[in-house]
Amino acid sequence: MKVVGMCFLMLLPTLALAQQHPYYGSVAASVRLTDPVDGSDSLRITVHAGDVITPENVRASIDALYATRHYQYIEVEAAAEESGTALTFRTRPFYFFGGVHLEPANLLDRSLMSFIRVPHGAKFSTAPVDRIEEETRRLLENQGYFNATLRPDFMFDQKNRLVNVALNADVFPRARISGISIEGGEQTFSVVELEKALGIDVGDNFSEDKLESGVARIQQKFTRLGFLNTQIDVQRRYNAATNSVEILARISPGQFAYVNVRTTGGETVTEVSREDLRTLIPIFEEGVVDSDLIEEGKTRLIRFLRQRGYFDVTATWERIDAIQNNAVQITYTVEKGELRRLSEIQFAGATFFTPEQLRQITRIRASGALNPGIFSRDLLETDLESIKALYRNAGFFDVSATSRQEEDAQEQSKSITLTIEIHEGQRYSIARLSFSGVSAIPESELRQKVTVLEGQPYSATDIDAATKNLMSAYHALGYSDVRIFPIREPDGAMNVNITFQVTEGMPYRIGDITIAGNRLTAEKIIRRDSILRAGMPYDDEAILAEQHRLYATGLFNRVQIVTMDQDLGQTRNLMIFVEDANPVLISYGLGYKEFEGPRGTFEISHNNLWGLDRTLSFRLRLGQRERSFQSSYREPHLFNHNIEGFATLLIEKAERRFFNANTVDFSLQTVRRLTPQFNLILTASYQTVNLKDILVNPVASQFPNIGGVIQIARIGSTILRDWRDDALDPHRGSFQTATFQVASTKLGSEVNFTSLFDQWTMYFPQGARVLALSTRVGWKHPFGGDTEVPISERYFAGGSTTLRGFGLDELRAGGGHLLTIGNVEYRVPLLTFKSRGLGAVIVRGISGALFYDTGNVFEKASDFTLADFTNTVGAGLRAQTPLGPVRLDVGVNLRPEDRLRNDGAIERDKRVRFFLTLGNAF
Amino acid sequence: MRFDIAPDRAVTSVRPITVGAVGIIVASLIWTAPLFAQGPEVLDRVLAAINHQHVITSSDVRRERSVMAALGEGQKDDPAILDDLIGWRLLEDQMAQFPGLTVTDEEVATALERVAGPLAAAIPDIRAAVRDRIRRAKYIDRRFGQFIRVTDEEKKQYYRDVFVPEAKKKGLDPVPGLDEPGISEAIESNVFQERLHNEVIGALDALRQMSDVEIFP
Repeated sequence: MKVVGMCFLMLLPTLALAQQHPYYGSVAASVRLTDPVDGSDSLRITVHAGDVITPENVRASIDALYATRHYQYIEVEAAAEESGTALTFRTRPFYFFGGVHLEPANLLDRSLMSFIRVPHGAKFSTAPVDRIEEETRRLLENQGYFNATLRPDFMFDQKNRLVNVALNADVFPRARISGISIEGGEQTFSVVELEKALGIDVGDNFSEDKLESGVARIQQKFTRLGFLNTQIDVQRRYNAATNSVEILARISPGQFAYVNVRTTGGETVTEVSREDLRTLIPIFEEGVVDSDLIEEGKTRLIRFLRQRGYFDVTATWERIDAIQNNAVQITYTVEKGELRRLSEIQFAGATFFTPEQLRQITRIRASGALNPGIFSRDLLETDLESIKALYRNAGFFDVSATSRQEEDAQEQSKSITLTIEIHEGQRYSIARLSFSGVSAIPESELRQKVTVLEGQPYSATDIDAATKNLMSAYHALGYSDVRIFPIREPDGAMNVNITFQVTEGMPYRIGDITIAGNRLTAEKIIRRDSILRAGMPYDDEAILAEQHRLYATGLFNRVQIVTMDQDLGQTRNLMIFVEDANPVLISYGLGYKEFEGPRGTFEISHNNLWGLDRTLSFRLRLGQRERSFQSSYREPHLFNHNIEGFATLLIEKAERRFFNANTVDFSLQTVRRLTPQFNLILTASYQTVNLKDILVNPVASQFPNIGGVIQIARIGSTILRDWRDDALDPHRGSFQTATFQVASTKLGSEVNFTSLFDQWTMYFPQGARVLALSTRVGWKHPFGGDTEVPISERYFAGGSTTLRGFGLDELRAGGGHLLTIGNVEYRVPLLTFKSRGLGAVIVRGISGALFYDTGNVFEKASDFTLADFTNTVGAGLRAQTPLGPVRLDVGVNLRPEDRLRNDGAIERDKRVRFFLTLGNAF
Repeated sequence: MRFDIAPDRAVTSVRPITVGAVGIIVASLIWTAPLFAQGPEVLDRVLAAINHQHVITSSDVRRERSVMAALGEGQKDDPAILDDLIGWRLLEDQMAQFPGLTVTDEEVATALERVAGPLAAAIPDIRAAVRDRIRRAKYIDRRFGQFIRVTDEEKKQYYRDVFVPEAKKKGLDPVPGLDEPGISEAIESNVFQERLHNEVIGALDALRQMSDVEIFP
């Protein structure tokens, strides 16, 4: 046994290393690390030349290298040398996720990345790819592509250490529906009704979305009848041989619930409709019947009736189960009490806030002519708390608010006057403002950032704003983990001390910025105007702003800026991941324009030519009186300056009210955006216009009947300021343009004139209503011996966007040199559609408008007189659509006059005009 | 001869000498193997990475295989061992957040005495492996086991669906009843183990789905 033991002991070290490699135990002659990411990485290796190689020190070295988070894979190679063993640590550095796309991309409605989460910038591994593959397969199935084969191709971007994944899909054509069977629920609805609700027919392409919508519609049908928790089990049986899907829907109608509300005398409570019950009693929403939900329904019912003037209402409930029929009846019995009106709400003792300000935060409402007001004890309690919170925020920490009701017994309607008594107390002031935990920014600088001062009255809103400013100051320096808490402490009577408790964290800087995902747009376009630069502080707010900026270019469907998952100390590398939008846009439409009648438009444009954000577009417009072709080219950075350049060619044949014109116009334009709202535009154009059939009666106008081909060359400038909140449907802000142009023989023109046009439009919100004001003034002045401008250059007025008491351009036959228009419009929302139906998508709401238009066109500036201004009042309706408002206006000319028509006849102005058009008048 | 053995003990004495000689030769070969080695060879490499935080290497798999052999836990191929190691690593992260999973030296000694001889018990790898196994068992018991209650209905079902058919297959006639001594306890233990196994497998599957496990072929 001793021998066995001795042998075992000899073998002990090797037993411990059983099945280990024979190089273990030899002496390392050299140790080498291939392709180190960081020069110091080799120092992490724990086995050195001269050491005995053991599994432990090799394994520990692998762990140490892996802990650097620089390497995805490590392999240790040993080779015999004369002096021992040469150890080589071979590594593969981490790669990072770029993007994932599907080939072919058109298998899905949108890009793959809009459906699935891709860990952009995360360390690459195949595990997330497996997940993405699985999700993609499901997505394809939802689109009817069953049994799809997906093969991921990994494209390694060596330079940026990114991996982009292409999921190559091999699919059959979309599966069709081969059969639909619906079982169950026939006692309630016929199979035909259920099939109609499902909305899918045999032969349709399979679509999971359509199927789910159909199932939801069936469920709604049952719920509407009171069947709670109706279950619909849908089986999709795919037949690979026929590439078709059979749908089997099994419906199990849920428990039938009948809810009624009656008075103690057994009468129906008419104030609560069936629809109200559906929203008030939560069993319909939850789909189950239990005591808690019924009790919750009681509370809501009481609140509902209190808000309708039954301030003393009480309620009880009773549940009767008809188990055999899987039905339940719930009866709420209410004692309504007297109906009263909240005739008035008074705020006593409020001096700091006005009653209007207090009304804005309270939910109880006094009754009006058509409504009983809103009142309940719960709401009153909530409102009292809101009032106290408002005062406390403003520094009135000792505020109290109570209520007092006075009934007017004299009146038949039992009205109540509610008085909210507010004892404001004194306003606290800030005694001392201090900072703790700050070192990166001097306190004196921080004091400048905060908007509050010592001695100033306390305001929670101001403190919040100050905290935000401080956060921004730290973010701008790269302290992205900064935390700031304002601590408020009382300091004697009527004073508080504010301490901004700052935990700064570490400052970070932006390292490399990698651009990824751009398959079309050139990298330089993405980098060109970027506000992010390597070496600048890592500022979250700047990163967000850059993301918004890139979205705003319209070149991308998707922009994501992520921090690369690398441990680089206080440096953070960024990846800007973008997904190109489809650059080719085809649009077409049919429209109607007053006088011109119906017209059609077709436009094709490439919005990212050569991936350089350049645009080339062609537009064709055909109408009864107009045919035009326009081609334009846009260069976003003219000569590498921050100036947009446009070249436009317009060929047009148009019939106007007083003349016909064939026009060829070529213009060059530069736009310099001085600020996002302020643009300076310079224009140069050359126009050949062939004027024909000028229908101006020489008696009506001094304008000479000159036709033929005229060359007009001009240069000009425009200042444009746009502060509107929404260009299509503005509610606030202003819009201003001022254009000055010169046409001169020195530029190659046949006529000399100057042109000035100013427009100033303002929008003032009045709650949800808008008061819109507009003025337009245009003046053309011939010079250099010329006394006239071509008719195509004269001003005309009348129509849906100028003076709505007149037809298009008919105000003055032949137009004039001076245009003056003033409009006032009061826009009032009437209805808002919030449902999810298609109708609500097309028409979001209806609004009304009252307007007044005034102004005129004068032959010469010297003819101007206010006495000749026309006056039109009117009203209109606007349907809000995604394309802007569709507008119906009725204008009433307050002073119709006998007007000389171009054919020499005298005709009285029509008193009433109707306009149906798209877009606001101004 | 150094090993002078009495003739009547010859048969029994040859074996230790043979084992010893073979052992010496094998050990010598192992120690001197690098001298005969030709060309570079992979000594160790990453086989799997878990959540970009931990790696499992080929030496881990080799070590585990040795430990299993020493503890008499049967044989598994390398992919199966790697799979186990990945699962344990995932559990390890959970255990780190679980209090009171200490293992005493006495517990390790007792377990080693039961599963391995005194010599194997002297190997640090084996002691460490046994300690890990006890710790895992404690975790599994506290995290899952203590919440498993085997009901009478489950016992009856197991008896009906598993025990009786198995007993008949083995020719037991009559088949012992559920109320016979020891049967109910044995069935309860089996049902418990089965449920515990399912719980652990389920938890591991969930952990894997939430984790980023990359295997390097």
